[in-house]
Amino acid sequence: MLDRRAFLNGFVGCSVAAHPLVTPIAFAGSPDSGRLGDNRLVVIILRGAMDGLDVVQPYGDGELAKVRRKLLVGPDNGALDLDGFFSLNKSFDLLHPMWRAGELGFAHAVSTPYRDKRSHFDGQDLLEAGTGSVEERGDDGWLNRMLQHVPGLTSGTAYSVGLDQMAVLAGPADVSDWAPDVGVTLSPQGKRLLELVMHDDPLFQQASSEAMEILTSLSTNPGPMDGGEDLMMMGDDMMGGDMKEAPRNIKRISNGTVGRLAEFTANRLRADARIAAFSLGGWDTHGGQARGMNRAGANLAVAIMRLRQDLGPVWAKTTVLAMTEFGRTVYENGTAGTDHGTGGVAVFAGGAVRGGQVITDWPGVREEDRYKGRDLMPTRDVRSFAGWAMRGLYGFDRDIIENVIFPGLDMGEDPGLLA
Amino acid sequence: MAFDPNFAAVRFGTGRSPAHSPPQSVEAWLKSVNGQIESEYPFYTWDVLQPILVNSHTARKNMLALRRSNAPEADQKAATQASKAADRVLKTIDRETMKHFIGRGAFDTTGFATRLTLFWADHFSAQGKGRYWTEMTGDYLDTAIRPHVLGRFEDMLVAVLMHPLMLHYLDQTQSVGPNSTRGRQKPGLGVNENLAREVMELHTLGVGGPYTQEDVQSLALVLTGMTANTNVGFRYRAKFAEPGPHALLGQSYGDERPALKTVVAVAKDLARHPATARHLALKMAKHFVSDTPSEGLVAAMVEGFGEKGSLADMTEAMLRHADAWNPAGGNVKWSLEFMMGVMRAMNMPRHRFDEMNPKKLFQLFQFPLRAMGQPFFEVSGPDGLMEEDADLMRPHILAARLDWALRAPDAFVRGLPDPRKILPNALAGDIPKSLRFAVKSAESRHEGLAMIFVSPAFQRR
Repeated sequence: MLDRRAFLNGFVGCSVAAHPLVTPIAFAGSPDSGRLGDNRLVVIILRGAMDGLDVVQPYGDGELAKVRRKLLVGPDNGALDLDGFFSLNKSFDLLHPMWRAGELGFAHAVSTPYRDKRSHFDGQDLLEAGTGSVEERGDDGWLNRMLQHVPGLTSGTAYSVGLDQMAVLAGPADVSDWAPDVGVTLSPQGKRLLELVMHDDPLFQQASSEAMEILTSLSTNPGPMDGGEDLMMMGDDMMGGDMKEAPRNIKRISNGTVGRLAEFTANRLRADARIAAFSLGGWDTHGGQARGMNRAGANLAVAIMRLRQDLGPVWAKTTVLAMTEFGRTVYENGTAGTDHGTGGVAVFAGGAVRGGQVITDWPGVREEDRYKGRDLMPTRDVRSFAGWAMRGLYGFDRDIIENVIFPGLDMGEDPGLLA
Repeated sequence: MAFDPNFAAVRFGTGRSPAHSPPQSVEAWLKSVNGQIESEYPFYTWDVLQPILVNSHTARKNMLALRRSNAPEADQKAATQASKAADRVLKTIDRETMKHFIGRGAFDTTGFATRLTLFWADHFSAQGKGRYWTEMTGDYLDTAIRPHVLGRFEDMLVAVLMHPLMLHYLDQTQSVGPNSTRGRQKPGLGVNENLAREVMELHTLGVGGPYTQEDVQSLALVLTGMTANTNVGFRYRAKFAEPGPHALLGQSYGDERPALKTVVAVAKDLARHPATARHLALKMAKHFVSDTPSEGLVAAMVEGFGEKGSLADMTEAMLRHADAWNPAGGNVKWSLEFMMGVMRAMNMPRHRFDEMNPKKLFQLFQFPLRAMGQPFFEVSGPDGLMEEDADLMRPHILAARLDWALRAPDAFVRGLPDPRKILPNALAGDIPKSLRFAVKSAESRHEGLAMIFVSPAFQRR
């Protein structure tokens, strides 16, 4: 068993570094349907270290306001009350109704096992590798290792979406990738000629026909909402017509790269795909955090909102997990921002989650409660939430999750993030 | 099969170009690396770069200090603007490095030097992780890689190990020997094995090579003291270096006085190791010739590499081997090379390229390279770009190349030419019938040209 103290200090995962990889069949707990069933899992990597204390603000813990003079927290300062203790940053306005509907929740004071160096690169590497330390990192990501244990995995089951390379999905299991920012305008005649040109080279023929299939399905089968109008209306509806300043900004995001990422992801998940991952950046808020948070928060909110709308009925079977490499300092710095820290927040959303709750073993933010006197103390390994999601959605054995997918993880008690 | 000028242009150069008559022999081909083009598209080298980096650094520090001290708003504003202006200079440098790299490959007589540089720079993948380091890419290429592509491998290895960009990329700068003067004063500091591991696994002996974890640890200790920063560049700090002797691969290196020459001695032995020869020959043959090169070709290249570790002789052995000219199994081109090939096939006038503004460069190169999965000198790990055809020719990459091939030629020439006139001079060998038909039958010049450039015959080298 994992010693909680050991986790707090970051000494985990050293002993099970090289668990011998056994063939998938050897694991009795693998889903045996040959597919992943009906459930969908979307992993969003939040690059740049999201400030969990500003996204889900513990305003009920009076200590925070003492060290954050410019970064104001709580409902009195415009944030949305969640449960009387935590409030939600106002850049997430759009998602407040989802919280009330039980489709949005958070895990607080969580982190990967990464400690002390606070480098974005290493932190993201570890978050996506899913191992206990940077040194144990291999060439594959944890989501790919999960797929390696799905017997009969077919092409198109998992999608890496966007221009960022998604290390979380890298590895030997077959993963499709697509960047919705690439749009090809080719005439019907051009398409026929392309087939002809590629015909005798199997590799090119395959790549070309898959590309054309995706492009065609995107152009002839747009999501339930094409553009920003519907989203705005729905937002107004859900907010009771209370969206005073957001719409323009929201519409722009929805029509831009972020909207296209979500639109494409939903498009694939409505069909044969079950797993998808993409990333959203902009969280490295060393200065002027309020502004940075407005931008990055709205991006994440729109991404989740568009997934919900474009997925339609499939949303009910969807779990979205958004995770970041580490949190930020408890106190604000001299430039109304925060610096690299440790504990932070993971976001979960979807029709398949039990939202409306902030799951946490709250450590407090007084100096003596912090990690190294500066950061929010992580009280749970963020990997355990992904682990429990996999177990709940796809029935993976705890043994595979703790030894192979996340080597050295102790999943602990079920945090109850699924409905 | 033997040397063929058109074939050489596609497989070992950056593509055929009506502007250049290709060399007619292996000797002439090898000589083509000494063209003028590099001096016409210079990179920012350290002497020019260093004061710029220092200036940018100082401006930023000044801005942060004023903010912290709550200085008058006007002063803060001025400092912020100064820092932003300094950072804009850095962006200009990054863009110019990309532009000049592409210029070299697109307008050289053969592009052979560019291909070799690209291959070896990828072998020694190193990149900036944040402010002030990315700008060293040009210096890295021009001082650590390019001078040695037809020289000795050990000289390239030593130059790479002494380059700030590599020391920074693989976390060597903070590595301290536990028994060094500094390590004994401050026991919290430690050794970082990252560079040592990659030197053995990727750069020299190869994964599965004849080395152990103990050898990696020894090499990591040998490398302590090798450091760099953006103010002074490379430095050897004996006070941070672990005293020897170090046992490594069955040999003993150095003594109780740490010295740079010990690092050089170890690097030379690693560079000349038979396992290194085999690893490099196989990798080079896979890149230039085929994912599955013949054993005969690899053996000839190993022999060329020899005990001296000669890259010139290894490269020449490849060019002189019949199997290197087998048209079957031509690899999928890397994205930069693909773009340069299109520029050459279109016979893009050089002034059009030289006059391109930042926006055009972003639209035509910087962003598309990212979309094609190979952003300019940005890799996902120290093992560099993917090499296997199946990893390179994925649906989204093909789509990105097709999208680009439909749009870019417009910017390369004034008035799109008849695709049927471009076709005969674009490919290495015979024109496939289906491609000839497709080019003739396309409903627009755009689509006709795009058919040529996305065809397997063009995208394979």
